[in-house]
Amino acid sequence: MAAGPGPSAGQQYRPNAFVSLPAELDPDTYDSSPEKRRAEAERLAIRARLKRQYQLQINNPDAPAVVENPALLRWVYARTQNVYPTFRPTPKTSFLGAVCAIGPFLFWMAVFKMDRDHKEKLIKEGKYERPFSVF
Amino acid sequence: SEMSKDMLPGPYPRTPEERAAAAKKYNMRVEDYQPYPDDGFGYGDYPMLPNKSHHERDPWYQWDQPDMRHNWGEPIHWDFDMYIRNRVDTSPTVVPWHTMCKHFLIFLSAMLIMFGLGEIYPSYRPVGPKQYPFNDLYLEKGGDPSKEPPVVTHYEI
Repeated sequence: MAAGPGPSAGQQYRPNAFVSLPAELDPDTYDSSPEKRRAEAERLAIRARLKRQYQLQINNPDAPAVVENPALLRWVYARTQNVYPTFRPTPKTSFLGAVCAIGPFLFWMAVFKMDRDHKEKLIKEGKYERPFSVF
Repeated sequence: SEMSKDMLPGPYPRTPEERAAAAKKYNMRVEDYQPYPDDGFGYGDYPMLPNKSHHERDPWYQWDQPDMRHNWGEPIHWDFDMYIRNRVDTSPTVVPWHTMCKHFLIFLSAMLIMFGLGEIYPSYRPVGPKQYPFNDLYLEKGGDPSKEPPVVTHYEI
């Protein structure tokens, strides 16, 4: 006998690092509890406050030439100048540092050495045809 | 910049007061604020926001910066320059990711196996050596015109 209708597309969908779950399939977005609503209200209050600050600045007749975005400045600072002070050598960072900094050197040294030894072996056996160079 | 030291990102927050201060600094709720784990990678107290690209943000909302879909003062994701609308897109797909991977790998492996088999066991119509006219191109190959060319026959009757 035929099996019943299989799992729907919505049930088969699984989010991962590359795609996210749409809001329609996320049970978290349904049936907001009072705590969730209070959280949303607080977030809205923060957003409204920031919007008000921004609108006041850009609609100001004596507007400054550039309205700075402190969030952007913080982002830039965090990615550039805040990395070294907050860096700490741990086993994980040391291992990754060795792999990324010393690994390529060792890898390419091995590759070139093996390639040259192989070519040398072929030349000694007389099997290698020296390419003709016009330079 | 002219921002004071306490408005700029700092080290990982250890006490609840530091967390609350960091959440206030980044314009976030204390409950929403979640810094990156303290692994010494250099994140400091920067908040860990969900890894969603700007493709997923509401296109109809009135953003302060519509092209970036970003509001003034809103905390910016660490990988913001990766998640802009010209680059990585994490929108939900019509077909689940694992199904797409499975279909693609099935197709790719089938094609590779067939090509591999074709290399190991080539099959083509039967061929013979190429036959040239004029006594196997005797004159073109530099044969002496005064001599009689050797007769070449490619058939047997």
